[in-house]
Amino acid sequence: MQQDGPVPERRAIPIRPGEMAVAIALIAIAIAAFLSSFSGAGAGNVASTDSPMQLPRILLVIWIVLGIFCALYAAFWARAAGPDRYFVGRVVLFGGILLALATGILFLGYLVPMTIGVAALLWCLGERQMLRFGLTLLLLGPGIWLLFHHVLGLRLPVLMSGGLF
Amino acid sequence: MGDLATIMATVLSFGTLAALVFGTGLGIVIGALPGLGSVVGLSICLPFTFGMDTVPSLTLLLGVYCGSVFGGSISAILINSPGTPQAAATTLDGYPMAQRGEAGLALGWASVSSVLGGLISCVVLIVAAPQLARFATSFGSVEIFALIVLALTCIAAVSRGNTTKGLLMGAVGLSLALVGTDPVTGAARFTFGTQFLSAGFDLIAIVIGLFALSEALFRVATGDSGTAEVSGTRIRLPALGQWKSRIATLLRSSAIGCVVGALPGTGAATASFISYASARQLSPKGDKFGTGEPEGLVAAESSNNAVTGSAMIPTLALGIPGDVVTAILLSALVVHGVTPGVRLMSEHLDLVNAIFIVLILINLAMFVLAFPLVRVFGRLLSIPQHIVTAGIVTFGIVGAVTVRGNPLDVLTAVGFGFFGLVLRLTGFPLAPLVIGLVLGPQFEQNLRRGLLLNDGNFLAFFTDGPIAAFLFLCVGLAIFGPVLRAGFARLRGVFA
Repeated sequence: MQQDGPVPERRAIPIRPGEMAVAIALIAIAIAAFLSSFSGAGAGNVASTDSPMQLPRILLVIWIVLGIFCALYAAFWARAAGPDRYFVGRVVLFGGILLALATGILFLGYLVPMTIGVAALLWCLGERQMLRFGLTLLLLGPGIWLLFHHVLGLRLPVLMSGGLF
Repeated sequence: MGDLATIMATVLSFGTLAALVFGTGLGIVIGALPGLGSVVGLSICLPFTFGMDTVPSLTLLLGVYCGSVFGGSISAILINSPGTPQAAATTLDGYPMAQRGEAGLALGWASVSSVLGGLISCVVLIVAAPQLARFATSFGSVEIFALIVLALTCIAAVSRGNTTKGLLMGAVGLSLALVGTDPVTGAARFTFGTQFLSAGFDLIAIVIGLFALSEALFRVATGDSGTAEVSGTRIRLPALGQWKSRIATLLRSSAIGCVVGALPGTGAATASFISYASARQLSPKGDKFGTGEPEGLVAAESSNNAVTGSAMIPTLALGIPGDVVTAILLSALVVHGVTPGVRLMSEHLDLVNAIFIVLILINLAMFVLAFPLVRVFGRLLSIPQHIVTAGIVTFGIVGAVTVRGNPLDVLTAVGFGFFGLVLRLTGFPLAPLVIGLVLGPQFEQNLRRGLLLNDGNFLAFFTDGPIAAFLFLCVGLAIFGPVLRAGFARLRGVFA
């Protein structure tokens, strides 16, 4: 028998894959933390009857249960979201620069990694006008360092302990 | 009398006044630039406050907060793009007025309404907060625990997305707050043998990561880099006679803003839309709303600014932040050695009184600063967005590295920046996470104390007293209310 009208479109499962992936990742983190709570704790005051890991474990169980609900919701019950377009390549590059910048500050102090990092960020963001590039770099790199480290007296990490930079 | 003189001397000192003018001006600028908003503004201003005394630092942050709520209306009126979500209702009548060539007058209505709404909420705060705080001093551990659970539940229930996601984020925030050394036994929890985690995650680094750095990453991910052009405009104040038919709307909208602001998790955007809708229904000019009727502008602007004062009521009286902004303000208090909680008002009365006065002065300063700042708005908008993004990153990193002087906090902030981006893109709300993180230590302390007092019996919490029982009942309603409502509606449908 032939049916009239449009054939209902089958919904793709999971409906919101990104949301489901985040929920699953959160569940995995909670499970890992839950398991580690049995191996690393208890090095404190052994005379106390109060367990330091009791509350974290309860919260982690709640976290896991809610995470499962969120994953199921995103997979089967959610309304499909419109397609979003993101600049994945650019955000990965930007994130990589941020990470390198944060790691650089650990070993090289603030000024050098920050100046190089801001230059890289500006380039990544598409700044190609030399004058504006230079002025922004000067202001956000050494300018901010000078303001905080020397004018406001809030010490930023230095390259050599006791050194100027 | 002597106390008042001391407070006035602190508030009127050069440092506090400078922080007030700088913070309010910066707040207006941040609010006027589309896409930034109060939370990012506060996150990037945090590093400036670390070297300051408590009152000037809070003044700076409150100035940024109040200024940014007002600043959002400038871009809403001039370019039909609300600088902050709170100003979204302002576009409905503000922009049509600007299109009619009445941009200056629209800005005049907006600035007077904002200032009056803000001042009314200051009066409500000054009257209500001490009463609530006096009542709250009778709270024991169980009541405080129930109050924290209620705050988290309400925030989760009204979060963007759904309640389950909000509750999950609240649980994540509370769990993160427990990382570090256990306060009772001294045992290490989730430190994985590292010295860095023994003191727990730094709250400020996480806030900077989740809001400032994730905002920068979000801008890059979505390619938000547009700039807008706008001609120079001057504020023109409305004549006194024009207020006659609109004063009732101003008072009603301010009252709505005060009530909504005091509720956890709601905020100024909700208040302004409720006020706008009620003004439209009640006003004889209701049919003209949306076509450039100043009354719509008065409703939206007075209510969203009325939220700024009343949001401080639970924050100061109970130590419970109602939203991310007040959570950041509370974390700034922690940095300055002030413990938030139900005894904040009794133990730091001078500080709270100073905050009251500062809030009034900020609203007045906002009015004065609006005139010159509106004129330079066109130039501000011409700053390319990618330079603003680079600025957010720079101030975020400076904030993370200066809070404890530990460079590892930068890695924490960057890590939470990525986490925040993923949560934003997938619709998980950030507010319950941060509020869980802020309230985590109090949550644990009061739970464990309550269990000790009740011989480890958690069920006794529900019968501990009428206040605790009422608060737990509210928790239940906040979680299961929507389910019950849907069930009743279905039953009604079956029997109809």
